[in-house]
Amino acid sequence: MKKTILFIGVMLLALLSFAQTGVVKVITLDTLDNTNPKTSQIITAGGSYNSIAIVAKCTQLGGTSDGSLLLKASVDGTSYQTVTSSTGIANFFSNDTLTITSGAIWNIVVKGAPWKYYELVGMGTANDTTLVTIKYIIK
Amino acid sequence: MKKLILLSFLLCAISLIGYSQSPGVVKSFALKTLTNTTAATEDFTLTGSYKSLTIQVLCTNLTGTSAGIVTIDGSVDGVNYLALTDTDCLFKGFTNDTLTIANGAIGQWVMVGTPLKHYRIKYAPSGSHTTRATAKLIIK
Repeated sequence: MKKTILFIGVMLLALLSFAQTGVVKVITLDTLDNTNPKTSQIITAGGSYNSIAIVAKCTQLGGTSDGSLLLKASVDGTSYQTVTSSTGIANFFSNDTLTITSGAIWNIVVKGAPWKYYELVGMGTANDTTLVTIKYIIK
Repeated sequence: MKKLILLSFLLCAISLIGYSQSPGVVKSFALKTLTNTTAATEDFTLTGSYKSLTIQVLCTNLTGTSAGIVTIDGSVDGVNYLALTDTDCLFKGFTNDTLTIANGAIGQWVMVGTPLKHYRIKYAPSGSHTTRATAKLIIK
């Protein structure tokens, strides 16, 4: 009986440890409606993974969408630095910074997920509102 | 019975020691205060094989005007160190492989595969100031 409980416990732990991989998740970024930078929810990747892939899609809600998006990463969740293209570490499709337009789509692949925390920072303008939808998958 | 208990404790101890360098654990170095032009270093060793090493340094001005640079060195034997510079698929500094020391400056360096055993955060401050350096790393 004890062995059965132990086995179930081990299986549950194994399931929990893999729960984050291979699942598409959504994080939010407040609607961009002025020149104040908006920061997305944090993506946490504490374990050892092969990759993080992020996609951001811009939807124009009012005015003419413009502004920019960029990726920041951190070791401790406090001090963030902008991530730029680096062969074998981070690739952006098609640029390090996304210039926001209506319908613009930005893809990011971070190989090996070397940081623990990731966030997208968006900057809009005063005369438009833009919704940014962000999804990611960790593998 | 005693041997079994002793063996269990030893296994737990070995497991804990191993976990200290486990993937995903953020290691914080003791806060370092850089003073004027006095160079300083922070050494650490990685004996295991990891996918990546990410180092982060935050500079905070305490007095005067913070100045100087921070770089990362690596070594196979812990004696002969070489400066690590941006190299495709191996090493990249964000935003550059040299961090200019200033109040609030953040430097991050990613090494893929941790092929070296010994690593050194090298502080080369300049001017008249005191600056606090907060260094952390994560291996995966």
